[in-house]
Amino acid sequence: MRPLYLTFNVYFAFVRKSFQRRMQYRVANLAGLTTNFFFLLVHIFVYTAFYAASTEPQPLNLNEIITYFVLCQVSFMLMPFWGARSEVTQAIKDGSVALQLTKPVDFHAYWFADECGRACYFLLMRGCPTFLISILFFEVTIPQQFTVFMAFAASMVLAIFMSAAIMITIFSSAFWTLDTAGISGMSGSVIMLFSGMLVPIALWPEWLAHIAEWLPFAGLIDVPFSIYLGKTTGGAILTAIGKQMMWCIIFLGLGRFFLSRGFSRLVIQGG
Amino acid sequence: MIEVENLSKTFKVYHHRQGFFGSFVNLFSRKHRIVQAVDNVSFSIKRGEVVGYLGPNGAGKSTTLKMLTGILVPTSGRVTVNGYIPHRQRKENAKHIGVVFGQRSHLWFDLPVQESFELLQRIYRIPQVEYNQNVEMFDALLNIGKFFRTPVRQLSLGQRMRADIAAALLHNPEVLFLDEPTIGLDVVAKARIRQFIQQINTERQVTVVLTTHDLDDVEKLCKRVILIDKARLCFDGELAALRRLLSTERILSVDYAETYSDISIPQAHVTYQEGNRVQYRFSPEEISTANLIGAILQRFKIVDISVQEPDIEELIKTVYEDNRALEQRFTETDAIDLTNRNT
Amino acid sequence: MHHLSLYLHFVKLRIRSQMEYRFSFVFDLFSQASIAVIDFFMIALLFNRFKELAGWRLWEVGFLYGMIGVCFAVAEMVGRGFDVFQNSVVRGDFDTILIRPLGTFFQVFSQDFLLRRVGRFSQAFVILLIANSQLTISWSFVKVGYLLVSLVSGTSFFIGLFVIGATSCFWTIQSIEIINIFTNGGVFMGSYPFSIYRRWFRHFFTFIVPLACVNYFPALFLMEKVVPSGVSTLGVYLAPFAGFLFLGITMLFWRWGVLHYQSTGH
Repeated sequence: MRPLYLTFNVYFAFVRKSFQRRMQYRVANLAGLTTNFFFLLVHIFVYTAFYAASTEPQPLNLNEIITYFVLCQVSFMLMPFWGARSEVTQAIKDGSVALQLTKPVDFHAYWFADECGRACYFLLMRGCPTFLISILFFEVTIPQQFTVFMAFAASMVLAIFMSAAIMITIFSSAFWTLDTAGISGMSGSVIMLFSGMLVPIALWPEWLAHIAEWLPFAGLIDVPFSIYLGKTTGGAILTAIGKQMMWCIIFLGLGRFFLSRGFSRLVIQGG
Repeated sequence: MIEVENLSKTFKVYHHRQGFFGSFVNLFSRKHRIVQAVDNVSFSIKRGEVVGYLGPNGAGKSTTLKMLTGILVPTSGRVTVNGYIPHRQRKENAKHIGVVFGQRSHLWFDLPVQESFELLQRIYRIPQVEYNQNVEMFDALLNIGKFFRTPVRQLSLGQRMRADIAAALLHNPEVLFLDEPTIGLDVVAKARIRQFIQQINTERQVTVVLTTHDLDDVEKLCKRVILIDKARLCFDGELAALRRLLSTERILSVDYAETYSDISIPQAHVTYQEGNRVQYRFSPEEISTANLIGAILQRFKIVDISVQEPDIEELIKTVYEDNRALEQRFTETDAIDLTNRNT
Repeated sequence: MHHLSLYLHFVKLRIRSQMEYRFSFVFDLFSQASIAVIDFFMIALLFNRFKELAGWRLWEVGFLYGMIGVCFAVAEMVGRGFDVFQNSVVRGDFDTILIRPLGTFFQVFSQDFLLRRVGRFSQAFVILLIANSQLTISWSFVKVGYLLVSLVSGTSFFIGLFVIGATSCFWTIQSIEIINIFTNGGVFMGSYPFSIYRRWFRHFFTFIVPLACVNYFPALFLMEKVVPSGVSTLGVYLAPFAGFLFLGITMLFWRWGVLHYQSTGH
């Protein structure tokens, strides 16, 4: 048995590799950054106009809404809205994924590491610049307490883990269906809706917010951002993070299960 | 049929700056250097000829072919094909030429061969009678009927190549351009395609220009070869002449009856020795074959003896490696007309 | 005529090959529509809370949304060849187009036809119909004609955007994503009345990228809403033609791109 830290080293190397692979597309990243800002700007125009016409007090004030959408653009690319990436589903479709079996690594852990590397890349190269530039141009609230910030960081890391776990679960569907674009699109839009990416859940009517509460996807966007904005406080933070952890474990388990079933199916059918 | 005069093509190759800042600067200003892909090439091809256009990788073969088919615009020089200037009269030219690139298919990937052909019939406005005749003929020669209803993506490489060549000839073009038509194919498939090209050439007087790495293709198909190297034309003439020109060296293989300690013979070099089998390389200008054999028989007992000409692959390798030597020989022999080149 | 019959033949082939995978086709149709439904649902959600936006009510915005949605869906359906053009440039398939005796623009245009966008089209169209029933638009022949011209113009506008994206592939494919700002982003921002945007933003999307001309101004005219100050009535009448002009300019850009390709290869 290898010492545990050596095993971790291997998967950390996958995270790094995944990160470095993406570093080649810097111009594309610049284009993506511009797109982020465009959507942020339109969101801000729309909500400013809505708030200007409304006299009633709202659960989130305009500054908080702007902050919320800045955070949305920061984490946009980290989230599983895009469904399965085509290179992975392609490998599954043409059977070349079986090569994975020849490597002395756990394939679920390998893909998880790969997804985490992707998230790191987009957080650093897309998320951080978006946030820093936004602070210059818009009134972004920043948490005053260190503990809030720490809680947000923890919740955000869990959101990224959850995203990676969900992503693997989605693309393992490629073992059974030829056409993953439809599944990706559909699951992507449902996840986007119930994560609170389109409209903050605080602004939803109660009945719909209830449904969102019972689904895992708010853990991706709404949960960490509510902690950031100070809307979730005290013991509620622990509950929220606990729920994120629970969903994380469930999706990791599901992904593992589907992948091993998928691989055994592949092996039996001979690719 | 095809006239090429002082044809040149230069490309700008961009230098990419490294680093984050560099890639940003790349968006606005890019450094480049000029690469000469085709340099002052001239030749003319008559109707009904089959010409092998040869050269090592990156010599400018494909670039020339792309200028002849209207895909690329020349930097300078003149090209006419069937009287059309390909890059100016691209559509007109396209009606009268057939093009096959061995590396990729021009057919519709997800359509059955038959539907691809019918589409081409519409695109080129081929009359029904003519279309039927052609399909029938191609089926007889290439046996495309067997996979006529199969989508192109499911064809084997050999089948795909046959379909592609047939497709390029559906509209009865006067010229057929083939870029590596036998690449990656097995021996049987190669033979079949060669035979077909030959037949099309003799029966329909289709002019064929062919680039290839496979020298069997050249030997079987082409009377005439044009060689280019480093963007320049370095030989244009009959294959036999090229061979004559270069095959001044021959190889003599001898199987000796006994083992001799000293087997050296003046004016011949030992190139290979294994057991009692020895190969000598010699030049007939220095020592005639008869004299050499005589000298051997005088000193040794032999079992077998044979004289070989080096194969064409060797020949062409020599040309590429020793371009200058060839040039010198040109001045001595007048066997080949070398088109004007200014160096 | 030759081109038209050829185009229809291409479309027929494309539709048939997409119907081969019937399950995936139907599934996609629904997923397309459901994604779009979620889009509008979110707008409705906001109106449920805020009641109005810069003087516009939900179904007035719904009318805007339906118009832009229909245009985009049709543009994606017919302009697919340009939308996915970067793949064919990377594969080197453009050489094949150049050896055919037909124009390059026509060939890329007829290369693909994405029938499954019918899902998105019908969703947007239904919203447009509902919006119409909720509003009291006094329809006349002129207005119906004007609406049709606007829709075709809006479709041309989006196709023009795809053409720009495709043409830029002759130089680089790394920055191609930027066109999404105008396509997906255009649908998003076109779903809201233009008066909520800042001046520079409005001007950019009127005079340079004429999104407002094919959507907002026509909607103003059709719903007989008050034309904002600084906009002439004649301008509103003529606005839809900006889409055609835009497509025409992008076609010139395409031609230039092809010349560039022919002189540089790739």
